[in-house]
Amino acid sequence: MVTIKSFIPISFSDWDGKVSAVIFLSGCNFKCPFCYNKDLVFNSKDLKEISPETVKDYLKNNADFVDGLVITGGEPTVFSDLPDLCREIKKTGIAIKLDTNGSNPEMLQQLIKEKLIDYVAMDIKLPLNRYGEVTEIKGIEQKIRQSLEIIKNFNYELRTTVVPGMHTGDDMLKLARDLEKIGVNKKFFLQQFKPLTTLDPKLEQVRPYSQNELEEMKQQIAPYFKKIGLRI
Amino acid sequence: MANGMRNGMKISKLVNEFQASEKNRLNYWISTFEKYSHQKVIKLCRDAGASTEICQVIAEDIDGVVNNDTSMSEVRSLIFALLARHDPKSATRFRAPELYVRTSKEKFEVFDKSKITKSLVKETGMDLAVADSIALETVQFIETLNLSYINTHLIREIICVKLLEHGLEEARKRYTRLGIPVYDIEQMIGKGISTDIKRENANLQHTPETINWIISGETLEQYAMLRLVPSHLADPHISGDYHIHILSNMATRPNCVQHYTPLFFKHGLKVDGTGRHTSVAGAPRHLAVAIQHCAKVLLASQTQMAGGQSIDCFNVWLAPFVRGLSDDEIRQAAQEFIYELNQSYVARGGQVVFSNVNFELGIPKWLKDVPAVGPKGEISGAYGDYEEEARKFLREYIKLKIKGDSTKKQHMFPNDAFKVRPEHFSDTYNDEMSLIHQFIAKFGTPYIANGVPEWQTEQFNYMGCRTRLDSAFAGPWGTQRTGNDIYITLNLPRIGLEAKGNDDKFFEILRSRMQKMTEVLLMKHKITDDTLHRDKLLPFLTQKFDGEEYYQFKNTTKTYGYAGLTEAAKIHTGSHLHESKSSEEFGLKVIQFMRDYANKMTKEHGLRFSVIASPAETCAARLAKLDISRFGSKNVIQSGTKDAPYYTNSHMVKMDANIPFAEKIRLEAPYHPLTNGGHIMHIWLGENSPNAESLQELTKKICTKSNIGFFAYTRDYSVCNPCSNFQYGLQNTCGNCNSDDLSRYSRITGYYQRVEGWNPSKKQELKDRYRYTADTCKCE
Repeated sequence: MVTIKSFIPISFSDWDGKVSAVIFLSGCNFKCPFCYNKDLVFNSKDLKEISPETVKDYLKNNADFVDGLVITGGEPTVFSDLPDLCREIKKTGIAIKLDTNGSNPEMLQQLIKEKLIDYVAMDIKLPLNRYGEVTEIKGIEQKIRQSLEIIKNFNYELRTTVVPGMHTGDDMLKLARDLEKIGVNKKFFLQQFKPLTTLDPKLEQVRPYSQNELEEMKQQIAPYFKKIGLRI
Repeated sequence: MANGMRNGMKISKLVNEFQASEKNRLNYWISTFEKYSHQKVIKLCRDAGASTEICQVIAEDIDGVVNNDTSMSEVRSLIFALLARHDPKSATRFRAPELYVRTSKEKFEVFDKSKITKSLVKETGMDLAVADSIALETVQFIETLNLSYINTHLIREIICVKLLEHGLEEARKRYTRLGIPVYDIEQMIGKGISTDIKRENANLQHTPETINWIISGETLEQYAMLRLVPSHLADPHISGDYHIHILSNMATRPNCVQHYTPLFFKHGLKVDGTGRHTSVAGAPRHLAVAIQHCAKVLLASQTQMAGGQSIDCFNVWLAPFVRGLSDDEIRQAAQEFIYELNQSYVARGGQVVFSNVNFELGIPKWLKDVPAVGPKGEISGAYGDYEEEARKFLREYIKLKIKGDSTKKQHMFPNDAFKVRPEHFSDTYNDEMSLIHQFIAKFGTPYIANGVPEWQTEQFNYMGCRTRLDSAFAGPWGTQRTGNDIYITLNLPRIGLEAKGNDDKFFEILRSRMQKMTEVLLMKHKITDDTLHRDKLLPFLTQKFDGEEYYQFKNTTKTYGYAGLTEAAKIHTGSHLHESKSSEEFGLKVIQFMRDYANKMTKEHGLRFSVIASPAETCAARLAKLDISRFGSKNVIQSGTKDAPYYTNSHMVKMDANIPFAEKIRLEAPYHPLTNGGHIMHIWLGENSPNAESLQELTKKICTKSNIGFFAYTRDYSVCNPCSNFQYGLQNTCGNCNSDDLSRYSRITGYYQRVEGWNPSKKQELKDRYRYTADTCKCE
């Protein structure tokens, strides 16, 4: 059953071009060392659950100003009834964006087919052959590639949070080439790493890439993407 | 021992004492240059009070023992000894030295009682006989002090005490000296502006100009309270019923103004108002000069005004000069303007001018057919012909503002307001809208003036301090060349405390407060009229163009402000504005009442009365503190902490109210149409990097779906002092070099300033702001 454990009523940085509300589902099938939502995902017993009704009411009452809902987490697609949630919320007429790690291509397919979501933001955790570093799921690379195929012709963006020690300039170059080859190079964002309450506590001591370093990285991979940006 | 012997011993002792102290007497030294004369001896004896007969006797005695070369100084002890023998009382007076007065002209004059009498009559207009008797008492008192010399300031203080003793209060008020204690000056020089005196402006630095500014401001404020504001109007200010703003300028300056620069493009620039004292510039030919004229108008005018200096339709007036120029040339001119205003540390205590500009995204209807003043001051078509140029200038200007200064820090000034009209949401204006929001996303500085709602008249303008003008009083041209004369902020929570929940009582008190405020506003109107026309103290404002005075004094606003509506509502209804329907309705009722009252006064007096949601930097804290003193902290509802109390700004919802965004708008928007004198809504953005397109979307929604008239996004940010690294949010350490020496910036009631410069109450308010992020949000 879908569990909503946090809610941002209004955000200007979660869906470009939209004034969005954000709901966080607590549950995930990955264990990315650089995750800073670990408490929300693995330790949310004490957080009060928010009912979908509450979210719907809020969206109805604020329809004048909020025109998008972002579903994030955790990994929303671990909940088998996610499509039901989307269906409920769609009754308000609002646009929905899904943040996902791409590990559930079947659900992604369903959501897109049934017009339950309007935009997909998929995290690319690492170069595609290194996903073993963030999850134990067997055949994960295949699943990721399937998801990429599914969203290829939809509204989407891809993004990678770059962590010194895990993502080098060369890694990103390799990834960029891969993504271009697959044909999912419409929109890509390099995201800054925040060394706060990370899942792997060692990473809290890591100094993030400086803005200049990120700029340089962006320049390097820019030729492979139609649109590229930095989120710091 | 025979009497004579005893007397003799006594006298010789006295003479010794006399001689010993002679060196301390100024008149002794003067007399060393004076040759002995019989007449001089007589005069000295007579001045000491001796009878004519004794004077003769003494003079003859001394005649016998001097020669031609004797100086008067040598003879003095002899005179003293002889007086001691013949007339001891006179000897005492002779021994008490002649009193010399150090006057303000840096010279010494012999003390002369008649001078006191004359000055009393001149300065206070009192009766000669009364003045003379005060003078006599003063002299008698001074004699008891046994001084060698005295200065005029000290004499004045003594006279004031005498006037006080006699209950001559009116005369004392006219005769007293104003200024500040020695201690305060030393504090200011040594420790900076950290004394209690005036942290009203967050812009002040620690320089000699600032110290001058504070001292003169303090003195003129004393003057205003002593001589201009009658006590029945001054007492409520002091006790905190209301707060009269910028009292230090009551005597000499009106508040703020929206300048109309085409006049200077047409006629050239006389910064002194007359052209006689300094260089006069002609009508500009080039954009670079025209824009410099704009900057200098603001600088010159600031010397004669207390508050904001603004130019409405800034890009429209400049558009005729933009035609035919390359992007580079336009950028260069705009850059000069921006730097000029940020780097001229010359106004009001060594601050930069409080500068504002309003931009139109296109050419507004009311200007389409107005003849355009172009190069050389010549008419060149109408403004409607220059939309392309106006927009081009706007875009280049914003790009420069986005760039920031050479360290990538944002330019604090001028405050930019962009007037958004319904047609600006079409694709046609997307470039301009996009740039505006990239600017906002980066720095959060500009304001959006919303021209969409019904209640906003076709022509309107705003300033960073939120002063607003519109077409209602004197048509669209009534928004130009004029501004606010004075405003007063009403302490609403106190009315709540005094009314004790009784509705009738509340509004009765409200009415009587507003009556007093009206008196103050009318009084200031008269003062400004006098300063402009009788005292001719404001030559820049009264300079004439085409036979008419530049400054449209008759259109200036006299404004009622207010603070702490939510606290007042809580006291009166039991809940804050955002907590219950009845509180919400009460709040609106109060401000509606104020607006109705202002409208009535406008009708009655033919003057432009208005209501403003006060910007309330120091005021919010002061009123809260005064109420705590008077009513006790248990009874006062305020929104800060024990050490840093404050009342919430105007009608704004409590800083930490946990309400959704749409709700905040719903609660605050109705006040905007009521406050024709000005208002603002703040949107706190928190630490995440907002997306410019999302903000653009939000602006569209706010403009088209609410009655909000003026709003601004606030991004807090920090700049590292050693390495200039720029970071969003109020950070503790630099993400680039790890230093903890950061300057933190946030918006203070309408303009950006460093957090360090704030008074404690404002710092507290900052902590309270409810931000729209995951950390603080708990929905349910």
